[in-house]
Amino acid sequence: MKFFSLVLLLSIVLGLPQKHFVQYNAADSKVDREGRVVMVTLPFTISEGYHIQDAFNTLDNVLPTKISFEDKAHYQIREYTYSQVDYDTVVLDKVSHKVMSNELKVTVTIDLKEGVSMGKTTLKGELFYQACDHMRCFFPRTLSFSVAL
Amino acid sequence: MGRIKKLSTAVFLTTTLLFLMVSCKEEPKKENTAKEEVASEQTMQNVISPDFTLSTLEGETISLSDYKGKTVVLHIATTWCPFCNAEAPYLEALSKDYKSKGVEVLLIDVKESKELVQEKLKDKHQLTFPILLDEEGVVAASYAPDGVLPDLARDEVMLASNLVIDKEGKIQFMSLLDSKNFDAELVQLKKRLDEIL
Repeated sequence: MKFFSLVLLLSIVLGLPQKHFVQYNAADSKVDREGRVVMVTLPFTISEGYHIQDAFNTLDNVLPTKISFEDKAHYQIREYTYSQVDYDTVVLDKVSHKVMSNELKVTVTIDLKEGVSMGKTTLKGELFYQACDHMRCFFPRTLSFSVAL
Repeated sequence: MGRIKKLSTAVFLTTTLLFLMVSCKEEPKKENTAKEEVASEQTMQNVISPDFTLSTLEGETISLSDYKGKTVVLHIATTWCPFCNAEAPYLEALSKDYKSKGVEVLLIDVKESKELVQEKLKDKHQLTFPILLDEEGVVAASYAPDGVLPDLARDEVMLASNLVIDKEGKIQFMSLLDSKNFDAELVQLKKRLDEIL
């Protein structure tokens, strides 16, 4: 077996954790309830020295950051916004574009479905992002997050 | 008292000697590291390129040795590499502009599916030169100089790197991605091509 195949196989078998460039700060997440409407703030930290692509208006050559939510049986996502973003500007092929670095907060407005009690469900989702440093970009990653509603 | 003095002197001398030994040992190490850093940029230049055999998107098998007698521009890419995407139109232009001068462009895509590469590289940029699938990343890794491979298994490719391999199979140019001095238009590569043609 070739060396790289062996390394790949071992990585799969051993389930080596993938290095992440973004961390989800579960302890700092906020949940505000008003009737059946829940406002959730999801805080993320982008590792120092790295940036991730913007979520909107990105160049055709870069992969935009995307957030997605799962387990919608108990609730409906009304809207979500990237409520607090630290933007930087980088140049790719002489074209400036915005990227996100340092801190990132996503605010989600959720409508709980009838019959679902508070504290009985969890908002789960994934943040898809591509990180870059001053030299290169890295293989895109998916970061899971969850917060009790 | 005399014994204590002798013992103190011995300890002092031993400590000094050890300090000097460690200092002398570390100095050449720093020098080597600096040399290695410089060499890493040049490691693969002026050496015979490793041969490889890969399949194209169309299922044809291509070896580098098939191109003996021609000058080859080799570009290492993935669909998720923004720099590779930025270079793609310039590579296509280069392949057309230099075809009559005996230059062939080959793109090596690393660790991606045929369908994805077809859609996101070939179709998106309307590339007409051969695109080779390096499914295990072994060929791309064979060009990586020491110290260039990052610590992440999936990222162990030197993306957006360009090589010029001359008619004898010798590497005449090799660039590693440096986004601060990113040369999407391949100015340096074309300059080197013009020198050797």
